[in-house]
Amino acid sequence: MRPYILYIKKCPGVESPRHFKIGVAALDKARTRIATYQNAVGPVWEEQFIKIWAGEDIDIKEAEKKVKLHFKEKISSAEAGLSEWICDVDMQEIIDFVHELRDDYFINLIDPPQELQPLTMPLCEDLLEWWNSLQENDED
Amino acid sequence: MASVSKTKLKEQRIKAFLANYATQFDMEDSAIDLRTMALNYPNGIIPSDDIGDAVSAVLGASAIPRGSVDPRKLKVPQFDWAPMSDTGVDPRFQRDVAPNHVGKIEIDFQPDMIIVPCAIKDPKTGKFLLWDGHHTTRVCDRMGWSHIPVWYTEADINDKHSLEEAERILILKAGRSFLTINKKNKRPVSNYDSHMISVECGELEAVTVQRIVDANNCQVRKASKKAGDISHIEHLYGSYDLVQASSGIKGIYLARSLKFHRDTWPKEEVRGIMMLAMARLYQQTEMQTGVLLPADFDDEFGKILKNPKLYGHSEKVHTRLKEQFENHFGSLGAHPVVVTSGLVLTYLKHNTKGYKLAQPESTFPVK
Repeated sequence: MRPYILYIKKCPGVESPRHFKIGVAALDKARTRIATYQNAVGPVWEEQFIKIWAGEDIDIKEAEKKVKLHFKEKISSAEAGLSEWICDVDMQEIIDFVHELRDDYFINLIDPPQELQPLTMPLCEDLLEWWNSLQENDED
Repeated sequence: MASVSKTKLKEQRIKAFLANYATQFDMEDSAIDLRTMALNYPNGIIPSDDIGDAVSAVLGASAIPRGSVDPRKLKVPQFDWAPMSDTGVDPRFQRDVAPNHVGKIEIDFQPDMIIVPCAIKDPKTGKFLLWDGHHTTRVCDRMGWSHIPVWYTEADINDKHSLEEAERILILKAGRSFLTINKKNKRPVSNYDSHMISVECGELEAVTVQRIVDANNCQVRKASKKAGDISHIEHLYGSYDLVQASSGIKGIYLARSLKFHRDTWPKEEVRGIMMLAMARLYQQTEMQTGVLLPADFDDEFGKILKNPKLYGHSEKVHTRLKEQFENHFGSLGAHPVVVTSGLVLTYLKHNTKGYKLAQPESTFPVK
């Protein structure tokens, strides 16, 4: 089992966004993933995942699939680079559906501490430490 | 350089086409959902032109205007009722004849239910050399038919083509046609289509399976996306086929298994392997203990499986059970055996109500 994160990201620098990208990344590669996005925007903006959930790979990947399916009508294009953008929605709608996945679909999605969100590159090591401590506590 | 990609153009064509319909339906390269498309027509019949337009929306418009070619004037292919004695086979462009296949299709033979065989007309002998429908022809022969319907192509023998050239061209055509029809462009009927056609044509077994599916608020779908969707038709029939020893009846365990799945994971699609594994668990337990597990067992076991410390959603249950089997034995076994055994072992480890289950077919450590 490899830990993953489900993330929501907005367009860089946009206030009151209405378009959101949904995606997944291995939890220990979250920093690399943000760095990829950072590379595209350069120093004028600090890239971030505005909302994340952590969990086992199978839970996170299933959640991503379900979110994309649920918001299929809001994904305006299958073009590369656009097929993961849910357009013209309130972010709370996506968050509510993720909560529904946890409560009604029994997909185990764990909220990281508030101080780790939005997730930026400097916080990624803290995220990994938090996850490891969670696993140690579970084993105890 | 194109400013709009081919992918985007296709999206735009499909969107424009679907705008004509109140009931939306899936339009993919691999399948246009005609069953749902038909809901837009009062009598359920989709005009051929509309299906043609749907195909063009996916592929792009044809360069040839609709209806602009009258194939009757082309004279290819031609049609004839050929005397059986005037037909033959040139093994250069035919496979061996399989008597067991002839026997198989002979069982279902009906005079009005045959595909018209295809042939080339040999310029030397005048015989119709079959490149498609040879097995059908053999059955017709065994049914005593004196003639067989054929679509055939004839060589145009003139100054340009000698007899030998004409024969060579026809043989090449026949060989290519045989391979194109039987191999390259063969599209087998999917289990989904087979089930749906059987239901709608009133085949008894398919209708019974469908009734069980309906009774549990499920739907058979080509691809499962929504709550209660079932797309694994092989496992659906595999679950149905499990016979209750005491009554000799099929379908009881499918019904129980679907109810379990829907009650436990009401918002999830029905996972084929979970459906089959639970049906097997019920059957094996009843065979070995004489007791059909009660609803109280379903309730307890559902809670065990949904416990986030153990599994959660249905997809996770069977995936993790397979992983645990593989970790223990080093390779994966037959999925129904692995998942059924894993489910039994999980219940035995975590239950509090003590229902007796069948012996697991395989034993390995589970969470």
